[in-house]
Amino acid sequence: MDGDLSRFVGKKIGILTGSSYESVLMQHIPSALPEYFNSFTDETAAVKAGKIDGFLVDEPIARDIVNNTPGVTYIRKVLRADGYAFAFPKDQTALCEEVNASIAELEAGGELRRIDARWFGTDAAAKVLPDIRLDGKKGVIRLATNSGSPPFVYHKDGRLVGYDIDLVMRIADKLKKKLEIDDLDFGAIIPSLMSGRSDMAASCITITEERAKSVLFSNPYYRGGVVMVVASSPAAGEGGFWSGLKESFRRTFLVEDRYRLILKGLGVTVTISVLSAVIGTLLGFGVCLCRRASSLWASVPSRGFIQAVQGTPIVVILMILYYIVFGNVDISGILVAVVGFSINFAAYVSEMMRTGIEAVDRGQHEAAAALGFNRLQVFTRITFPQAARHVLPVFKGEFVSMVKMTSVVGYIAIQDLTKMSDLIRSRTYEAFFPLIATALIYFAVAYALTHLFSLVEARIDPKRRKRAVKGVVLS
Amino acid sequence: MIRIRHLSKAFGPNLVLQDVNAEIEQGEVISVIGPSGSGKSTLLRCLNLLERPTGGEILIDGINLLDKKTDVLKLRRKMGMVFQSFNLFSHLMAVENIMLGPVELLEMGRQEAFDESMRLLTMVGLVEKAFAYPDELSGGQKQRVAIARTLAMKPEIVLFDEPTSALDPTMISEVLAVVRRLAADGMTMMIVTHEMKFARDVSTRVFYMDEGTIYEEGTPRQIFEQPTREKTRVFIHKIRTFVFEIRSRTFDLYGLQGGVEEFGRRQFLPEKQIHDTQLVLEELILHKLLGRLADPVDLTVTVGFSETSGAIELMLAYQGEAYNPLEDSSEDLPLRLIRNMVLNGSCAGEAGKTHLRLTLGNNP
Repeated sequence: MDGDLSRFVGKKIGILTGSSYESVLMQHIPSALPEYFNSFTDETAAVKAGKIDGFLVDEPIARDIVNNTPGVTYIRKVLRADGYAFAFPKDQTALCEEVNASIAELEAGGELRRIDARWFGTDAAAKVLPDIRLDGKKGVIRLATNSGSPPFVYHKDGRLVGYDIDLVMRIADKLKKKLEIDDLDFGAIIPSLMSGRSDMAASCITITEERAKSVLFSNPYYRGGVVMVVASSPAAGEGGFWSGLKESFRRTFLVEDRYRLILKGLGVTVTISVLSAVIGTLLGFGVCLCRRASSLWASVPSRGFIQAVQGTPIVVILMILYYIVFGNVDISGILVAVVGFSINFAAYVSEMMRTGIEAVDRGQHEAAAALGFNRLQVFTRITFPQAARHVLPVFKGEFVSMVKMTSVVGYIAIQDLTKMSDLIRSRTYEAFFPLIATALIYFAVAYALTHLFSLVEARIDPKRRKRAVKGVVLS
Repeated sequence: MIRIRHLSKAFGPNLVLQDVNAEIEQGEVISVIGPSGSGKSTLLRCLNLLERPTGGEILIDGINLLDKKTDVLKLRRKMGMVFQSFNLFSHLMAVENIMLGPVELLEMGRQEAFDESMRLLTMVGLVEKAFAYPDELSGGQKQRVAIARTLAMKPEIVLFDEPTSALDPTMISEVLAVVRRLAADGMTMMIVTHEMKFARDVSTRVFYMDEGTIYEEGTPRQIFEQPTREKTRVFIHKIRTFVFEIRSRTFDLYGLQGGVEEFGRRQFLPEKQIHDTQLVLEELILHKLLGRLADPVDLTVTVGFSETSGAIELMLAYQGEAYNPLEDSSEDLPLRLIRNMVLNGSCAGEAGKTHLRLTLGNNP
């Protein structure tokens, strides 16, 4: 493919959100229309589907995409020569210096070239990380990365691997430090550095002036450039529909044991959902009690809480919790997600409970009180069983909607079901099969959980109960 | 057993009860009657603290209910309450409604509580509905279950708050029959009711409430036949009569008939007697009196019931030509119907108005 870019005038060109590609595009094709994407996988799919006419990407990644995806190629013209470097928070100058020194040593010793050959070569068996045990005598480096950029960083056999990881391990070994790796969305890497959650970032990051204002860069460890991926002339025959499907299944689930990623992600999704539902329900009950209290000190703040949470997108709540509230606390992302979703669930559930409780007619409270029941007994024996019956159908819906909502936790570096399927997509460059497979898994989970609730619902529905009194015999 | 002293209750600025004094002894059946808004239900609800009185004291077996140290829940168990709107627990079957209190509060074994509940259901005639949910029962059945639920706690007194006011006329008697039976068994009861005939038959004492206090009390005989105070007299007279004003020749006949019917039912009159009264009024007014009325039309119909003779008395006061159907010699159908049912009648002019009085026979 020649280097003539004039045919892209006025065409739609894909840009990775948060990347420096946009300025490159404007420099070469000022009249192009940039379209923003979150991953190269989506861009590859968009090119194949004809939604965009091309997208910009770093040359080594372009090579990887083209190797793995029939129907696309890249224009062999470097639009901008780039250096890739590690990024640090502004105040980590000492670490930056140490890393620079290590890079210089590795380059001088020829190690950098060997890493290069290993990860850009065609021998899949050679693509393994060095067998180094990091003892962490001199502390920990919290590394932010993005696993959607092979061959620099990607998942293989359930592990993060790639050029950058290989290099960082060798550097950490020299510095006698341990690594704690956070896999974030690309756009979340620089905020994570700036908030102090991460000490260092490695994700094939190009050095730009704009980024240099926010973060500190090491010396470049790899020199490449930006190229454009486009659709190639008619894709080679891909076989029949069924054999295509079979191949997609193999690539998505079986190659490199990728189904294990899916299972791991599913576990995370279910853990977050179930924990949040339990804690959120308890919290929601507390909020509901405060909301119903006669004291303004209780009811006004709880009403404020409900309105504030209901009016804030869950992604924003998660980001605030992750980067601000727990910004300086070493806490697992899953825990932050549980806190966030519990708060969110509580706000909705408390209002459901309130309507459920208020739907129980006051006369029954009075009748129970007149029999001599105290307030707690009235609640547990009379109000709660009836309110539960009113609330459960909506509660069920809210829970299922929360299970699906957890798919945004990728924003705070959690690898849930959605994130895992994104990772697989970033390896296979296949957009639809993993997406649809993920949708089916969500559907199955939601269906199973709904069914579970329906069983409970049937149990507390008086009309479906057996007409018998427990623990007695009819004389 | 219960002594009420200087009890008062205010809802904000509205004084509902003031200076109520009463004593209730074991075995008494007390009916509380009076116009609506006179504080009857509030008094009852104050007795088991569903409403907190603003002043005075309530002594139950010598213990002051309003003392902060008193265990209100325990005292409430001694006082059953039956509500106008039944208030059955809608998620429990009839028998479970009755068992709940004994099992949870009296710590009775489930089997014993169940057997006792079935016995009570038998007593109120609903044992075959033991496994029905409240929404599968009629109003009268619900109220009977509610009474059984109250009795299961073995109360020393049962408070009835208008137990039949929310019922269809056809269901009132089944509930009253159960209450009558309790009275016969010697249960101490306090009943707020609008069923005057029932109050009169069943109670040992009647409280007439007005102006936020017990305005007059006495035996049913004293209150219903010789009330001594002015407001009691007016009230008793009113419940014994039905008044309908006609101000135009195209008056609301159905309104009149409906009023007569409701009045008749309240007095427990047989269908036939109610129907006869409606017939006489219709024939008399439409065919005989309308033509004799002077303009502007001003006719007041009063229907009364004599407890002693069991007869219906009609009084029609109007401006216009004097008329007595018994002295009319014509032989048309309306007149024949009227004469068939009227025992005696008289017509006289009083204070510029014509007064026609008729007594209807109570013949089967």
